[in-house]
Amino acid sequence: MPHPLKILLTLLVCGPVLLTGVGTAVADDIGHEEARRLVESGRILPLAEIVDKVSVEVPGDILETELEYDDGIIVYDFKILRPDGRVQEVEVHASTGDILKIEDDD
Amino acid sequence: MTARSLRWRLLIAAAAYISTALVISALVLSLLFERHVKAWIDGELNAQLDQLIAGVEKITSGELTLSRTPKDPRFEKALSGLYWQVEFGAEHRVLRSRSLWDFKLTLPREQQIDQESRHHRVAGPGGQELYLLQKRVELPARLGREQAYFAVAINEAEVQAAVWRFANALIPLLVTLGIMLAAAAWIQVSIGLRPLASIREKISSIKSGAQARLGSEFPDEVRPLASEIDSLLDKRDDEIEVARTRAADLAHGLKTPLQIIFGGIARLKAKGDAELAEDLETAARMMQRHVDRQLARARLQGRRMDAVADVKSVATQVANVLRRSPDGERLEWLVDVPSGTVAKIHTDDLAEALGCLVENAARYARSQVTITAMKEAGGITIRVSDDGPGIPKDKMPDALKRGERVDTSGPGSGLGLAIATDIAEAWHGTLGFTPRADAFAVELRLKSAKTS
Repeated sequence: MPHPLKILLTLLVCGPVLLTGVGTAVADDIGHEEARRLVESGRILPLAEIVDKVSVEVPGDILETELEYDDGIIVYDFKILRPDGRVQEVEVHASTGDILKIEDDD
Repeated sequence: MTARSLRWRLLIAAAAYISTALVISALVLSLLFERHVKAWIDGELNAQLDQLIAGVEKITSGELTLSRTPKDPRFEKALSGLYWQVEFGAEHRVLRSRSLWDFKLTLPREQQIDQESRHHRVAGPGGQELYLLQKRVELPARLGREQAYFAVAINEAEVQAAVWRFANALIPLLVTLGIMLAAAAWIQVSIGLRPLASIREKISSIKSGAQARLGSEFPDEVRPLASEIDSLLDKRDDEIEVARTRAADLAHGLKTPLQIIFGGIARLKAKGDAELAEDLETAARMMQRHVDRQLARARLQGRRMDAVADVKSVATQVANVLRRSPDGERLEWLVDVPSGTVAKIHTDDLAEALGCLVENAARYARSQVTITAMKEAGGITIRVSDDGPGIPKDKMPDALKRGERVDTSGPGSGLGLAIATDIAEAWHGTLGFTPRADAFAVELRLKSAKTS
């Protein structure tokens, strides 16, 4: 039921970010049901494995997890609160678990 | 305190039961807390289950969906540790919380359809072990009477972490409690053992003569022991009394026969058998001294130990008596005792001891006998000195032994110094020699009386 509303809200909140985005193409969010199918078909790694890999490189609490198509590849987008209090966004290649980008929120 | 100490045994037992009690309470409290946490979690999960069941609706395509899902944000955050999963119909069509992300729970099959929610442990995403609550229900006719599983699960590690935090918070409390209990045990043991210490004190004061018996002022548990000790002391005193009386009787009994022997000796002398008379006289005198000493001892042992004697008056009396003796008449006598010198000794005993010492001094002195006394720390030293030859240094220890005679030429039995030593020791004093270049002195050291 809340789907149309949710999309609208997402656009309102994320719209400016997407428009002023740092040269990234327009992202398509992938829901968790689709994520399961992608894992089952072997196209991406299970989230738990990726989280294990990421927490080695960027320790901290994962506040938010999103999966999206980005320039033809599937990418996990994490917001991580680091022990020193900085919130960082980390992009991870969903098929390999490699960190593509670590970017401060400031 | 050794391993055989009663105090140690009691304290070790106390330490053992206190620590056992504390460890048991830590375990029981943690267990109770875990139960409490689980009951609380069950309440939460049940509320969410009910919300899931109530939210089932049919959409236009005919499929079942959830019109609303539980609002806890942890259901939205991937791998958050809080999950739900719903399965419809015989083919188990699955709806999952976003938090499960790409993971699907394997719900255990239930035998019955009822209102009960059942607990299970299942594997969750990322190796999490989940505490799962599920219900198997039948949906209403409007929704096709489909059977459905509703499950809500929480990461078991969170429950364990809460219990662990609680147990850790308990530790300082239990340690404090342990210290307080240990202190209480120590105080209890100290109070409990106090009567034993007081028995020891009283026994040592019985030994020193300050007290006669333990008495009955003890707790009920200790009183039988005290009265046993007292009756043992009574019995021993009676036995000693009997032995003492016998010794005194013996000495008394020998007195008359001795007089008869002396009479016989005198008659022997008159008959002209001087050699035999002299031998017999030596032997008889020795017997006489032994009898005298035994009688002195019998008197000594009957003394109350709280007697005191004024040294000046006793010394003056002794000097006056001996001044008139055959040895004393030719000598110059000097008595220098400060007045108010009071010793812990019975007057008769002091007179006897001094008599022995002064008699010796008078026998060997060339021209002078001196009796002095001085107060020292806690004691009084009475010195009897003469200007005679004295006793050679190597013979001094022998001189104090009973029956030993350093000078075997003159009369005497060799018991004078021994009697003086007996008396001194009976009154917790000592006897010793102080040789000088120009004089020879014997020192009698006695305890000073407090009153003076």
